[in-house]
Amino acid sequence: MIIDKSQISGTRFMFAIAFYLQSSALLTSFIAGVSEQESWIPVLFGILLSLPIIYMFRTFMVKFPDKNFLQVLEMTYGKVIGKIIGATYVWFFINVTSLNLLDLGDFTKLAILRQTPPILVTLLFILISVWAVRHGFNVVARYSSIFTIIEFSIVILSLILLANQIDLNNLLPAFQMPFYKYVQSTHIITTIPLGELVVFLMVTPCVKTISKQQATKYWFLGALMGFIVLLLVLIRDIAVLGNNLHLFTLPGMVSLRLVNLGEALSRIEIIFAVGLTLLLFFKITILLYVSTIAVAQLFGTTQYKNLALIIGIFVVFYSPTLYQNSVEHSNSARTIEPFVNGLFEVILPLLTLIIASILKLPKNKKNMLQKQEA
Amino acid sequence: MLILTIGGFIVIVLIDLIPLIKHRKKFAIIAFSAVFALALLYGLMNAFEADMPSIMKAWKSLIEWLGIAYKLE
Repeated sequence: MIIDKSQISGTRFMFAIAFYLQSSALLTSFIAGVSEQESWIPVLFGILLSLPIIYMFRTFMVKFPDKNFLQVLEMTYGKVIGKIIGATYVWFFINVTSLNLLDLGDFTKLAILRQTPPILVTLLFILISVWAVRHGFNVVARYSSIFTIIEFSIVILSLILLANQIDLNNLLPAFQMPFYKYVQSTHIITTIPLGELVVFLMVTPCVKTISKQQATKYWFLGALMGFIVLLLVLIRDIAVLGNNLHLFTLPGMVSLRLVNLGEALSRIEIIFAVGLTLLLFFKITILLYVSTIAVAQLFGTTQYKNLALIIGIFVVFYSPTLYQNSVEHSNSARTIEPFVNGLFEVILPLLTLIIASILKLPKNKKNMLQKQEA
Repeated sequence: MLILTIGGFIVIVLIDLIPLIKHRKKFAIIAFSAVFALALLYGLMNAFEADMPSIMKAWKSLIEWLGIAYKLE
């Protein structure tokens, strides 16, 4: 059963992955509270650890090119257990969507629209996301390529403008913290946000037929582009803020506030705010699309367009119930969420892949390899 | 707030549920109804400013009971 018949090219898929990872630049503040100015070390470790995880996701795409993840679960575990595990994944996707929407609401309240109730902002965003979702993944992913480049340019520009504030000595000393802090930070960064690429397993049927080598290229190149931006943003913030990094909820915003090149070039944190809003909007739209497809798949219907709005509205009302405030959210992200996310992003997909390999699935494989002429 | 919430849900039913009923999409109607019920519950609780239990707190209890949660410092 193909729910969404729209198709995107492999290149657009790659940029969607890159842009999705860039959207997680806000989440690096989660590890700043644990590993402070040494946060760049766990990010490097997290990137290395996420490579086999991304390879696992790519393997799903190669083995099951025309099946989304929930369909793979049903094939592997059978209809009943597959549906039960699929239902937990529906909750997981909706939960991640809600958490990101909560981040957006908190961010706009903190940085831009202080007097506006966050629910109004989130409602407006969701309505636009629903409009994109109803038009298919092609529309959802359409502007990923241009905005990946724009966001990359914003990061490079910020590095240039902050050149006089950057002190690379702030990255040192290294490896001075207790070992468990590195483990914790690496675990956090691997599961939030790198492991969240699991959501793209729901959109692989929308990617036009590509070869095994191209699948590998698009997954890893897309991830690499995202990693570079994440690392640059973090290193920039550490180099500028040093030991004070963990004191701020939005270190990127604080860093850009320090830009001061004459009277004309100061207080440019609005660029960060606009960029981050764009990023979060894209991420939430992808997540809403994935949640909608997952619900449609669970109930066995192709009418996902009629489910998008009600799921979006549910997410708007569900997200404020998750945490009372951003401090509670941050604390949970450091202590609990890595384990919850790890279950859905690593353990269950790995188990599924192992069982699928043992059962020699898929039995009737549509060969995704293009016939390569000798 | 309550009137706006109920009004909003009526609009959603008119936009999305009526076409599904017209085209007799049984599974889609079931899916819509399930999500609608949850959304309406959360929407009404929000309108009445009532506290809803957080699922993340349940996960927190489970992870802490398993003894694997990281400690806050």
